[in-house]
Amino acid sequence: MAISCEEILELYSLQIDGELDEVGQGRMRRHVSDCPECAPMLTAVQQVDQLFRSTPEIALPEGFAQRAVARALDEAAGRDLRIGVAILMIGTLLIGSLAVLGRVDLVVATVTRLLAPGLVDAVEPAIATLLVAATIGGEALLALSAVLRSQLLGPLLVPVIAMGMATAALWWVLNRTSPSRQPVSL
Amino acid sequence: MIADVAQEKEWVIAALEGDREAFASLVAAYQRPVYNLCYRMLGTQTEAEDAAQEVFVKLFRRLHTYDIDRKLSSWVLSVASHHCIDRLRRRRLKTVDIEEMPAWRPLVSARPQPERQLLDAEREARVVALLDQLEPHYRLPIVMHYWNGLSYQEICEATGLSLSALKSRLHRARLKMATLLQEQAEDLVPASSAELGA
Repeated sequence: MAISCEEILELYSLQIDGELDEVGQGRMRRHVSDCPECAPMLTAVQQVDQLFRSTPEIALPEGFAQRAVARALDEAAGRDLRIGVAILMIGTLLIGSLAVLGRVDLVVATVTRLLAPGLVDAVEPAIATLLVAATIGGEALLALSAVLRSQLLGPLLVPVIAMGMATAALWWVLNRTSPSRQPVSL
Repeated sequence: MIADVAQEKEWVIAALEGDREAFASLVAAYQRPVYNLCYRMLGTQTEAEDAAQEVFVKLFRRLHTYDIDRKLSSWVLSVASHHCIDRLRRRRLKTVDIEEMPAWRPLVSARPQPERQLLDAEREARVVALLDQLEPHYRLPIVMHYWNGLSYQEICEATGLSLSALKSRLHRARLKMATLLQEQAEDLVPASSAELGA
């Protein structure tokens, strides 16, 4: 079966890597002996191969391993710190949100006391029941928020604000002077 | 320097337990293949050093995801090759300083150099410029084959390529570079090492 020049070049790529079996080598020899057209490209491929094989590895920069280890350890430490700060910030936001919850009673009071009673008389019994349930739920939420506000606003508000500010400042400092960007020696 | 498999596994396990010396041993063992892969993929020593360091940062961060039954060298070179290809993609999106681009020019030194060094420098410049003409997914198997000394099977393990896809990429990469060589009017083939050594 005749073999094309394109296929020969593909086989030659395998041959220079020592991956061509004897059958393939035989096919190559037969084609190349009768086909002068392949020769220039085969020679060029061989030149590329020789050029690459004769080009050695590049020497490592002095102290590379030390710098790489230091940077890896340093960035890992920086990442741990960032995770810690992120957890602190989320905690601050949660506690702060509880404090803010005290304001929810105004909204709940408006909805449950002004809108719901008027609607109960005008809608179907099933919907009215739902509205009553919502009103009771709203009242419960109102009571809960009042308790939370009384417990949190006074004793916790100042520490929460202080902690939030300290966290923001720490976050800013960490991002400004990222340890991974500084030269470190072991 | 590549340590034996059992030793490498010990280092990985120790590094996972926080042993910094064990991680340093891993870096020492793989610094040369990782740095050379980065250099041949990216083309400049400055970028290669930065990229190779980032590879070790990633390896340290992802050490817990390493499958201990897998060959460590395949995993390390897989992370390194993905990192280089990512950098090349990002580079295409940025404006590249013309001074940083590899070019068909001999590396000139201010002081006189022996003939051998000049030939080495010129050959190096040709290799960098040739590789720069290849798309990253063609460049990678060429680099792994010639400078990391990996077999076909090892390249497949590190890149996830099938054997037929790898053969095809090596063939096409060589064809492209051979065509480029043919297009050059000048003689680009370096003197053989036998001639130089004589």
